Amino acid sequence: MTPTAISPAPSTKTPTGSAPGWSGRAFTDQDRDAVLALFTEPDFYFRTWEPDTRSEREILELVGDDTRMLLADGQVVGLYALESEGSAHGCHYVLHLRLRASAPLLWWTSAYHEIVRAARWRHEIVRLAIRFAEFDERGLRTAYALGLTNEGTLSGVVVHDGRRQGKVFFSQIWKPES
Amino acid sequence: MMLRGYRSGDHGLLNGPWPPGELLGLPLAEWPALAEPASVRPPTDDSEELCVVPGAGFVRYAEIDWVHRRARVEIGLRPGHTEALDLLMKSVTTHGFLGLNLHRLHGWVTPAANPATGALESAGFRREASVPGNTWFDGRPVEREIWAVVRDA
Amino acid sequence: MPEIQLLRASAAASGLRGAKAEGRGFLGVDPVTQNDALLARELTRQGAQVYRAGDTLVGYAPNHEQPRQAFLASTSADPEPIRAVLAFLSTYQRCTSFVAMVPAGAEAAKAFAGCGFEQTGVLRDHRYQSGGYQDVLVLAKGEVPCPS
Repeated sequence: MTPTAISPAPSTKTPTGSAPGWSGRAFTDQDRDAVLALFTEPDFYFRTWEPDTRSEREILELVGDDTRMLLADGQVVGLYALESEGSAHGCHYVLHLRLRASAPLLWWTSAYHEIVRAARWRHEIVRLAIRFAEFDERGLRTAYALGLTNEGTLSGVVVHDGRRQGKVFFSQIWKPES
Repeated sequence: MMLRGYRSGDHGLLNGPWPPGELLGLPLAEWPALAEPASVRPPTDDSEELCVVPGAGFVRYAEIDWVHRRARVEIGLRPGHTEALDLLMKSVTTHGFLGLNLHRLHGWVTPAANPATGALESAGFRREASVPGNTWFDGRPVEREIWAVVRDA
Repeated sequence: MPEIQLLRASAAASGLRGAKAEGRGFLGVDPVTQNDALLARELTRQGAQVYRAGDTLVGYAPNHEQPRQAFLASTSADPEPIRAVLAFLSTYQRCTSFVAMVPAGAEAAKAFAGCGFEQTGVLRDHRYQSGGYQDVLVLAKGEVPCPS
């Protein structure tokens, strides 16, 4: 029998240092298990400061209608939601974005850029706000890496680890010409 | 006739990468991966009619006005079914005029999205008006046209 | 510039009924074939605001796809109430682009022309009224805003 040449199986891991191919979809029932698994991580601060102790009903309420699954190369790695703030003509939005713990910082910044690009493709954005708690290392590192404007910290509004901590406000503004 | 009434199992046909509310929604190649697709909801009352071409796409008659006997049409076609386009367009006008007994069918066409105006014209639609800055597309406000077909006699 | 007074949906509905022929086609409603409850419901569904300026009713409905554009309507040939609404919309709602769909032959077309609206099309047989189909004129004005 002639030995057939065997080529190495294509690597399924994204090499560190390059951003994955992003895709997204609305939440459906088949994503329920994946989403519940995401919330078991103690720092998956998606609209909550105590993610790992949230019950299933609460998690589904947090997800609501406007949350989208974030997929990197087809794998669920996080959630995001773009909420409108204020009047419709103001075009102000707030972004909730969370990736699972195993995602590197590059994925966070790359996901932010991709979400923003897609959103600005579909409607006008004048101001995009994103907020992280003072104790949210991953979130804060992302905000600094993206160069977002640090607008200040609202102190004492979040209870975590037995004490009151603050929320840090960041934003990005696209000034309209007219 | 190719059209069949909507069932919840056809849910997957109701979204697609084209401007929302577009008269003839064909998948756009240049669509950012995370951009919200156009989405149509199942009908809730008699001012809407939603039919599907099984596995291929949907036709929605929205804002049906039984006094003015007109409807705004939205069509969405999944990729890979464009060969059925001309036949689908004929079904759209046949059902609208003979099934719903309407006098006029109209819809929005976004020139910036490279619409298939040939298929629209073959089905009898004509460009009637232009509204500048009517929708946001590809990072800027763009013009939208109103195309319509009116029943003879 | 005349004072414009914001009306609640129910007051707008009865106001349009009082406008008789000139109220037909106002933001797409028809006070002759639709009762007050229907008129109010339709105006609310569109997110419309209707104002009174003397004997004239003017109104706008936002374009939800593109919040810097608004659809306008008026019941008279006087351009001044429309100018007042345009000023309000540009100052308070960041509007830069305006559209009006006016039944052919309606008085309001003169008012819009007087405010710098240009006709960009005709919708054939778009309305049924007085025993026959009527065309609707599409009038537009405004700078398309520069993208930010």
